[in-house]
Amino acid sequence: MFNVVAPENLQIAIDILSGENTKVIAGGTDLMVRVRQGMFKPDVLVDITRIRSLRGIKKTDDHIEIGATTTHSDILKNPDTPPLLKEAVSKIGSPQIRNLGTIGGNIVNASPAGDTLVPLYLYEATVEITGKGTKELPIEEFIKGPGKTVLKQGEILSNIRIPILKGYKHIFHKVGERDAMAISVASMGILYKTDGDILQDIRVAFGSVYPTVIRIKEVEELLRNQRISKDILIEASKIIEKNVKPISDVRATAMYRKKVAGRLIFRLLEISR
Amino acid sequence: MKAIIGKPLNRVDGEIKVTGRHLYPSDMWEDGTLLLGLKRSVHPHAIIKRVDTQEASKVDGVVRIFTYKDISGTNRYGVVHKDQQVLAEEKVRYIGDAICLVAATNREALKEAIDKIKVEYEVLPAVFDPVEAMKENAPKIHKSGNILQHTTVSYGDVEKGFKESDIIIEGSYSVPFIDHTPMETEAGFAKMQDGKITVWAGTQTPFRDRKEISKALGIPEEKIRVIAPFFGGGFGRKDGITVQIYLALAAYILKRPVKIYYSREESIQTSYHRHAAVMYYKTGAKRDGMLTAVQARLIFDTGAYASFGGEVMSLGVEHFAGPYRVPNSRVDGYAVYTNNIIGGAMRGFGVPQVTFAFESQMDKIAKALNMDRWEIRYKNALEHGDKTAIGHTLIYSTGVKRTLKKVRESNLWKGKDKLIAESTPFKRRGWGIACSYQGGGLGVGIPDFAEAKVELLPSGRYRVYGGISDMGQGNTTGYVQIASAALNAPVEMIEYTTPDTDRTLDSGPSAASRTTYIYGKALLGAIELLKDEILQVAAEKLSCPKNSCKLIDDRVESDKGTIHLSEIYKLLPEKKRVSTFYVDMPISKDRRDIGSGLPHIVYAYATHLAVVEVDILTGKVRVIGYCSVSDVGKVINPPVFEGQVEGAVAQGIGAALTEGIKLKDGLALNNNFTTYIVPTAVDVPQIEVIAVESAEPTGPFGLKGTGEINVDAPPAAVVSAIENAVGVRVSSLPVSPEEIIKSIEVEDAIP
Ligand SMILES: Cc1cc2nc3c(=O)[nH]c(=O)nc-3n(C[C@H](O)[C@H](O)[C@H](O)COP(=O)(O)OP(=O)(O)OC[C@H]3O[C@@H](n4cnc5c(N)ncnc54)[C@H](O)[C@@H]3O)c2cc1C
Repeated sequence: MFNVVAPENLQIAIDILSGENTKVIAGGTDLMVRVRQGMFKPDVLVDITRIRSLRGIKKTDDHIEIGATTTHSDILKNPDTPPLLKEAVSKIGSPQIRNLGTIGGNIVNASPAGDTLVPLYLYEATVEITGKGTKELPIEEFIKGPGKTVLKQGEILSNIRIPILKGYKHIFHKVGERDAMAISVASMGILYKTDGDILQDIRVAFGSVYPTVIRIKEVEELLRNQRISKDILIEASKIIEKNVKPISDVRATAMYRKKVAGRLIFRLLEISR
Repeated sequence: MKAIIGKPLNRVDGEIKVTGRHLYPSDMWEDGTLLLGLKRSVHPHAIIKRVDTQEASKVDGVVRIFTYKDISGTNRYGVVHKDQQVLAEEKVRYIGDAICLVAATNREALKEAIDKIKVEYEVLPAVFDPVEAMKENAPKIHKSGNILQHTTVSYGDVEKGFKESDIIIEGSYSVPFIDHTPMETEAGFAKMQDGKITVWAGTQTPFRDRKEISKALGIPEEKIRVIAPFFGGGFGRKDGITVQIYLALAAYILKRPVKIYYSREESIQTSYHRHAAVMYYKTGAKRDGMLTAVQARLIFDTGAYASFGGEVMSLGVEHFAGPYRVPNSRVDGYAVYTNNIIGGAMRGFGVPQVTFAFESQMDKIAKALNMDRWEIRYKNALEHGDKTAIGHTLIYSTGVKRTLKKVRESNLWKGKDKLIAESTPFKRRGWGIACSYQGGGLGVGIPDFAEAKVELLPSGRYRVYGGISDMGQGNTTGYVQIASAALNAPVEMIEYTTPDTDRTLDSGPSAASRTTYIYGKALLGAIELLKDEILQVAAEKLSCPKNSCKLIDDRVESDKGTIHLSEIYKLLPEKKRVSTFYVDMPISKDRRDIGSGLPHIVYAYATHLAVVEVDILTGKVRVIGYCSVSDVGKVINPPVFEGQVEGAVAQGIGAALTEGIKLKDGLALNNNFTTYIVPTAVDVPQIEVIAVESAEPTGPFGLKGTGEINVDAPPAAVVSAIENAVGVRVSSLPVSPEEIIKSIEVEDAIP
């Protein structure tokens, strides 16, 4: 048994969270699963979804800012949402899960399969931490490993800032065991910009094939300023297979994940057709 | 009023369900109700050395911890073989065998107590592979040995058949344990009421349960009442004892209301499942595609206990070569004990397993002979009067050819080439076809009857007593509809009940595609008798000949006047206000000697067409078009029929692509819906549902039965379509994307 408090004031929430065996709850779609499994037994859950300042999407000149408790459904509805993030979020769970689940929860959960993370790594988003004061970190530094972040007791993730990239297109491919309500077995996101049939810029990241989401810069460098061809993709595919370090679990074998990650890059052929 | 037959009728249980008013077994609760839970074995095979409940009994809120010593009956149950113990005595045979039953006032206490019970084991060597388990030196799970049942059937001369063939195709196939995934897991409530142990449970077999409870606990049947309200799905999982005896034991000894409701994890690990099987086939055919011989060896893994292992395997044996003319055959079926989870009844009952195998064989023959996959099936399809592959004669309605003809008229058939032409470099499409048939009823040698009951009420309305459980399939609505038609009365005049051993009559299980056929038949008989009584007194009262009286809505009319049914009620002696009627299920005229539970004689037939899209980058398969044509006799309520087809096809697509329990040393690794992957609405396409209604004269209004037939063919149809799309032939279910991409090198596959 535990108590739930739902303050409307950020500072009060932070104060309560400094206490022992307290935990943030946003949508609860990850947390409650683990509480049910008995993986931890909190005394107090601090529901942060009533704190206005943590919710909503704002556009500045060069950034999109998303409050940590903004739900996936709100993200989908908002016209300012960066397109790759929008597509990735549309693949999360089901409408019910998207109505409850938040982007902050997805990030702090730090699962290599978290669907918002591939886009956030590619956009080079930063996250804002609020505790005793605030600080801002690149997403890649915020996430330390599976389920691990730099957050300390008494700190919350408050905001996500995404630089606006102009002229980029994207590819997102989530491989799950089925087409809804599925945790990804492997996923790939690509942001790219073309000049004629030349790839002027490209960023490539994978989910679920490494302890964290992984960007593969070697592939980006290989493909930058190149014309897409089958041959170059075969090479890229090999680099990907070399860089990923997937695990085997009840969903899929490591071998499958590795192979699929390597093969997904061939989707780039579509842009030259 | 016969006009109501074949017309949509809203489910009679629809309103109470969608408004939340219906109390499912898991909803039942009264003040003071104790919660029940089980301490279960963590080893797949072990001797119990000692059970220590001391610490556990001290947990605040724990009321009682039962062991087998608290049971004064046989402590045994099982449908055919009484090999399961209510609470284990000396030995456990799978992970999940119940050792102690705990009653507590709240969930936390229940859980804590279960954790605190200490069981000391002597771990025994275990066996998880049925083929291994058949070997001489395998660990023995039961004293009788590991082979629960061996059924052999031969017909014609199989050696001669192979000699006469131009080609012989061999293949081996495997399928995993499948979970039924009903929305409501095993659940129930019990208390002492009017001196009787009264159990409300999600059960397909209230009458059989009463016997089982009585024997296991040593309490006379007349002291036990079992009630089966509408419950949240069964599909065979609740065809027999799950929670009923635990409820009865605790209510009887503690004299308090008790409740049990399994978590999904507990349910998946400990319930009955569709049997895993390995199957070896050899099929011979002439150059023109005509089958000459089929031989097979089927090994069904029944897990730790018999349940329906022998019977399910026997159904596999009966249907092993499909709805085709096979002049020479031999089949050996084995049901084998292992230390795995338990195999039992599940929709299809042995037929889904063999359908996957024999239909794959048909495709392979077609391919080898360069023949069309539809044509080879049509050429060999059984017709009325033919002998089946096990040699009995089809003397009832036989519509497989009609389903094959009809599928070519479907929109999907006509549109499939266009759909397939839309393939892209990474997504290849293809179509597949499969046929199946499914016997209705329990088969030769097993008592298979129904006794219906109908009553005229004081208001002039009627009550139909539903003798067979309605787990959500809609049979109660069927009974109301049949009664409405036969009594020439609007549906609103018909009340219904669900089964209750004190009020309704034993009519057997809700199973085997028999539920509406047999109870409907009995009901028509009961109604005829009641009608006769009604018309008799009406005729006397109106002083006119009986045959000039007509039952219309709530009255009897004749030239001499009209009399309301509430009047008739008063005129009828009490006994005659209720009528009952008993019927037996028809059985085969020939080959009754084969065994128990086979063969059948009333069959439903189907042809399925699937269009799939295979992603060659990931190996993932999507079913993008599906058509089911089935012959289930007359369809009396089209939306209920469509629901049965759509549900069965979805379940079959699950079995094809994603379902299957992943076992590690007897433990289910995917034991909840995060990892046991059933298809969702986006994973199943719009299904084109077509009925060819080969009326069955023995059935109520020509009906046969539709509960199972459409679950058999989907895996074979999907696998056929995958091969058509990418040239990969899958022989082990569920289809593994990994296996598919292993066979397709991207470098070669894309231009
Ligand atoms: C059926 C189902 C399907 C799912 N499908 C997907 C899917 O397809 N893809 C996917 O990526 N995920 C999926 N999930 C996981 C989950 O829904 C998402 O990760 C979701 O975004 C989590 O958000 P939440 O608000 O519910 O997090 P919560 O459960 O509330 O919190 C998750 C964790 O983050 C912490 N936390 C939350 N917000 C903050 C904050 N602002 N600051 C500090 N700590 C915080 C909590 O303490 C907890 O440890 C699924 C879950 C379920 C139950």
